[in-house]
Amino acid sequence: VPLPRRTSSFIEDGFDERELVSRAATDPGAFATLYRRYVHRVHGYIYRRTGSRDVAEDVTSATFERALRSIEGFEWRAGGFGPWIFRIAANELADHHRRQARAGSPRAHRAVHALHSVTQEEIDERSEVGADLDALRTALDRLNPRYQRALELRYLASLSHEDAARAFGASKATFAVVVHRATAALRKVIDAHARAARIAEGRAR
Amino acid sequence: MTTKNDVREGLRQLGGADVPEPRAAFVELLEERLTAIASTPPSVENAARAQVFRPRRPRLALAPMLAATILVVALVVGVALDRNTASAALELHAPVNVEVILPDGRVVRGVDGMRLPDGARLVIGSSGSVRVGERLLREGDVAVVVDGRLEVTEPSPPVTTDPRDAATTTVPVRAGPPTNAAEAPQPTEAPDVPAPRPAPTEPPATTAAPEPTRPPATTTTTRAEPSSLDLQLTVLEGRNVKLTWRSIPGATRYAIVRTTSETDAAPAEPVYPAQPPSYLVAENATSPWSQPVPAGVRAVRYRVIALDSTGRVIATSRFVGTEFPA
Repeated sequence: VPLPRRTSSFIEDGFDERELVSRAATDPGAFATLYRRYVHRVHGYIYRRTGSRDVAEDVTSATFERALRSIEGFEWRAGGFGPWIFRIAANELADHHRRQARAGSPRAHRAVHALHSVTQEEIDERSEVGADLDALRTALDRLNPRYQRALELRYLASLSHEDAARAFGASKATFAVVVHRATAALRKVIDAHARAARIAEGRAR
Repeated sequence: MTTKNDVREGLRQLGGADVPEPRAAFVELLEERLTAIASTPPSVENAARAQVFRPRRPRLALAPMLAATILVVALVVGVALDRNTASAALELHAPVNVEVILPDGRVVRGVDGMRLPDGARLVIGSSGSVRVGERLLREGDVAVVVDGRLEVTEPSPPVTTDPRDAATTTVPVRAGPPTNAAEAPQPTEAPDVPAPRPAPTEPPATTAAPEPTRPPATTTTTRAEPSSLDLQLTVLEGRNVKLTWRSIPGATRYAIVRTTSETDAAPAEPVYPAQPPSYLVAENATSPWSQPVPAGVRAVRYRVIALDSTGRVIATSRFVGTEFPA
């Protein structure tokens, strides 16, 4: 008997998502099925953005708890449950960044984060994916929340362009424009950071 | 100078970067917490607030009728709130190893502050305890909520399988509650007292399997099978595992999900739809079904799911499992 391959790919559970959503407000089992279908993707999305497993778990929890409390008001639209849950995740992620920013200056926050919230395991994982990605995350932190959300949904959520636009709450055309501007803004941030690094390096010499 | 394409490429790399799977314990605990939240009735405070802040409709011409209606509604609401207040007083405080069997048959882990609806049953597991109002329940206690009051009953004795069946089961078999939340078990088949489910990280002592070498009559002690699938596990020669189950009317196929452990820790409970650490090992199995367990696996758990022609789950079995010597 062939053994199952260890894979994180999803196995279709055969449930009609629209029906699950319609039952989810009153049937915890239906919500649990939706949860199992999306928890890995939502966690992955948040992990990519934050690079921290702990934060990813916190924000994933908050996302699904909010989804559960709001499912009654969910209206089925094109794209279904996915864009909706990712929209909640993006909002929770923005809330997380906001809370962190409030907790202290970005520099202090990064120092505290580096000291306390990153485990050795995470450091190892980070070095695997490369320091460049960390730099990109830091640059993303400096964008305004709307631009952050657009780029996160476009590139980190593994959503189609249409679903990312739905999750963002805009038409496809508007979303494309926002992503374009956000990319330009991110480029400026990266360049500014590189210039600052060069100047600091020159002074050090 | 960075180009836009560089930025896009960087973002694509970030989006395509490998991410670790969420911890199985986290996924399981969050699901339990969500299920507990979803199963908790709306709080009395919210109901009262909803009454207080309900917008007024100034239909003065209908004042007498409105007053009468309000009186009736107030009476009904008053009675309902009174009943709810009694139930709302039943909250779990500091639960340790407590399982709650909800009226629809679902089994969830007891969490602090969880309110118990009428018909809910509490099972206090090994070294467990919980305070509910003034009552302190301890290991082995079983309590039921009846009309907003907690009634503590004697724990049901475990059901020992027929020795004739036991003769065919020469390995420890552990059964667990059917927690596939997608399909609640039939009320008539719900167990009186399901076996306490082990915590994902540290299983309670009561769930530890007996030694594989112990006689079958003592190793097959298990709880009553709530599902008519009546899943049984037998270890054949070598590391082959055989599963047998009863057919379910309306089922057109049976799927099997499995979890394994390569350490001393108990495997997670297999769930369907399979998500790591649960894996689908058969989509269209027939009883009896067998499979070799890979070398290195110390413990394994299986669950069988009956599906109808549309792919809908119509029944799930308890999980069964066994351990292999290191």
